[in-house]
Amino acid sequence: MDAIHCSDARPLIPAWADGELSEAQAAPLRSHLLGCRDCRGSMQDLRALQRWFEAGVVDGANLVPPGFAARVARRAFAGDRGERGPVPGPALLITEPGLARERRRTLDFVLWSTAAAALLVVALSVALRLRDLPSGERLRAEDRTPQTTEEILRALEDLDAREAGLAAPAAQDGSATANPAGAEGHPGAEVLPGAGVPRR
Amino acid sequence: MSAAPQEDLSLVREALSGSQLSFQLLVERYAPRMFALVRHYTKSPVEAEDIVQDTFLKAYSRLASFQQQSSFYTWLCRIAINTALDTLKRAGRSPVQAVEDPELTTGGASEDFGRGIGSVPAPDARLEREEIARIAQEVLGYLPEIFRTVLVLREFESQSYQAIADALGISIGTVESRLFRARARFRDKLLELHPEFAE
Repeated sequence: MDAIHCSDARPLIPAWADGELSEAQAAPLRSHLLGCRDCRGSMQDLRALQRWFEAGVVDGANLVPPGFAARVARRAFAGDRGERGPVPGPALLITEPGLARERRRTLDFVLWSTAAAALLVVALSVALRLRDLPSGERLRAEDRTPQTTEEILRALEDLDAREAGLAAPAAQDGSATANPAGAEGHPGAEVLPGAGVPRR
Repeated sequence: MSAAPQEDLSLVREALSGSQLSFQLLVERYAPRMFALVRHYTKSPVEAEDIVQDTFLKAYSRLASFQQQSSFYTWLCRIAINTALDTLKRAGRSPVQAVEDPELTTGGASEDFGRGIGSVPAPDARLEREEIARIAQEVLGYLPEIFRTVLVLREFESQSYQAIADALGISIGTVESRLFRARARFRDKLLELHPEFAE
């Protein structure tokens, strides 16, 4: 067996400590270590370092939650691929580590649903408001056909009758029978079908 | 105790043929080691469970691409490490990046090997095992990801250089270089954070 020098022995020490050398490679190294204090020191440094790691070897069996394997297999066969999309850039990084994926999805769903509902409410409010506002055409006084007071009152009574679902005969002589209820007509008064008294 | 490769291959084939139970058996077999591996990347049990779950889900979706060039465990390790690193990035806890990679620097590892990693204090005999583990994890957290990963696979998972090379897609020479640099950095950081351990 050929003796080796320190320059050859030192690079082999980590591999020997890790069990990576064949017997043919390890034998001359062992012989060298027996006779070289400096190289033995390097070996001891490496062993001291490895003692820091020995305490951290974990028995993973204690870490597996009950039912984990069955649950994962079920999800896998249901089509869950475990992909979460591309890793976001710095501006989009989630800053709440530790949330379970299910809780994150639920939170996202709630937030988006709330935002969508709020937008819908605002849109509907705006639409209804615009609908109620009189248009410019209706507001132009110069377009109105001049009417006598008599004609205006008759038109209002007709409107009331239509809203009440009753036919309001357009009396030509302006008689009170225009209002079948017999009561005084009030602008905006509502006559209920079958009711004798109009009510506001 | 590691499962025979042939048993794993049989379960993989059966899972690909539609056997949910076979895939469940694979998960049962390797979940403990995956949880142990992932614990070196996150302290949160919830996050660790998410990462391990995603690892197996991705493994199933890619099962047909398992080429048997490495063991099933090594193949899983690769998926688990990438999933853990992605999770850290999503959570805003990007792993430390190395300024240099031993693969790219000139000079080669042989020069470093000649100097050794330097004097290393052994854990104080009065320290509890849990405290030693806590300190080790603390120091590991400061290491660049490429160094932390090789240390985890070698020191905690007892993987061979070839298995580490297969898991990370690098050469055995690069594994040796990174391990050497990783151990030297661990030593330096240990003494920086805990000068009381210096001789």
